[in-house]
Amino acid sequence: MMQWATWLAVVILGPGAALVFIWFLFDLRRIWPKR
Amino acid sequence: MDQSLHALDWSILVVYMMGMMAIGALLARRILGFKEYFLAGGMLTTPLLVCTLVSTYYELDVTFAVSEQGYYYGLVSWFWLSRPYYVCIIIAALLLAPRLKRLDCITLPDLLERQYGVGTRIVGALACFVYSLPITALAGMTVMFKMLGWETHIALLISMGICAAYTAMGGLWADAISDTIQFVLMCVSLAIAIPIALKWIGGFESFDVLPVEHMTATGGLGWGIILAWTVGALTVFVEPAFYQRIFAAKDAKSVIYAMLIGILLWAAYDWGVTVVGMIARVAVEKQLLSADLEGREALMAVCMQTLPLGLRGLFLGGVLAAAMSSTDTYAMLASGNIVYDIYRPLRRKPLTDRQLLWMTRAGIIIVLLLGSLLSLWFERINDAWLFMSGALASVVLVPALGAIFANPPPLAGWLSAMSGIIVYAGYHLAVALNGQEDVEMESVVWRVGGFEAWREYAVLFALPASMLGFATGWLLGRSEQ
Repeated sequence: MMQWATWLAVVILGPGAALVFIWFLFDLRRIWPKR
Repeated sequence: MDQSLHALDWSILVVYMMGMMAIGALLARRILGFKEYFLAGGMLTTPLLVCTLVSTYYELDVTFAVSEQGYYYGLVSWFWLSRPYYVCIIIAALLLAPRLKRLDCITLPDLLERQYGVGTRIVGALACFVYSLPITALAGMTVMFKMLGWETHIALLISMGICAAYTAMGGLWADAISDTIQFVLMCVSLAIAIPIALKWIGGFESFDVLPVEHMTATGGLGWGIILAWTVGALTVFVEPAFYQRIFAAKDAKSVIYAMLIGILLWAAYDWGVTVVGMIARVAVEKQLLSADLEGREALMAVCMQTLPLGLRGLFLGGVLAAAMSSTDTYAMLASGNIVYDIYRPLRRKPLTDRQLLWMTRAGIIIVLLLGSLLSLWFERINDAWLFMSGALASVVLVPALGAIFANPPPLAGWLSAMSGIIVYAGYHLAVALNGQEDVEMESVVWRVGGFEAWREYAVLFALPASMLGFATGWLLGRSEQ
């Protein structure tokens, strides 16, 4: 259990966090639309 | 511990610091009034909320204290120090957030005043202020600088100065946008560190050298301590940073999704930090690290020992980011408590929006100075966290939930908050005056007859007192009406 939980944590923290950041970058246009 | 940094490491740190300043300066132009400053105009969307919620809630008390508990006790740290929070966050996301979003409030004490009047607002704001003082984040930074052998006062002053500058300039916008960078730094640096550290100790098989309790869900700890840890999770329901982000969200859906996605990241981060704490313990057993390594140094020691030059800068940036993302938010919240929640309603002549804005900005600097002084008071970061979260839960939890889910009379909120604060302060005073240091548990205990009154139990007495005060106030208040 410890092994898969640790690798899952690594996947969430690495690629997972990067995906959320990319989502934020795409979303910036919605937060601050071009005037 | 290997403390050397390559020019590349320093470059990463300098670019990170400069980036934070630039964000503050750029976003300062967007601030038109207090609500824009404190709630980012109510425009925060899901991904931005995920980043800001996750990174803000991770102070160094998590990065250091959870790894510290992982080092001393093992997996119990994740199961009983961290996991109860996820349950409370799910409940808060599904039940609290939609109701709060419908209210026209800026802060948690606004909510208290709506239901109970100014008196409860002030007492509640004081408890929020105690909780929001960025003591643990600053104490964590101090520990980190000491471990690195840096000049602590200068390094703390620079970090605090940068935090104060971008937060005072750009408010929640600067806070949230800088949080996105800090979020990536802290998560990715830990994701890189874990496999490298595991390889360094010889893989998962090496955990066999740890005591058996390290691999169990309770870690051999008594249920009293575990209960005190668990009760700490109730602060989620009155966490001022959550309230601020709920009020600042574009809509209820955005914040609900953000909190649910955030749980995955919180759980992963907690697990990762706990595992690194255990890796440090294995390294000590295998004589890869010094036998006199202290628990709070576990995370730093492992990462500085195993990460190659270049990646250390990324890791240190990540650790610093974890501290700064909390310091900025809580400094703004604590300043808001004093200026907006306490001073504004007590002042005869109303404050203009501009006065409110500039006083809150000035308050951030004062709060950071006060927080750094108080951070020297507590010997362990976890002690500071337990004291502050206990104070918040004892005073605000019952009245706030009462105001959200029912319609109690003003006396209920007032008696609840006052009973909570009196019992909480009284308990701490009694244990401090009559108790004795317990070296093994690193705590203070007052032994009365057969009962052991540990310092950590204060909230277990104050919370029922607050509930009793609430029930009494409701009965008396209703009969008066």
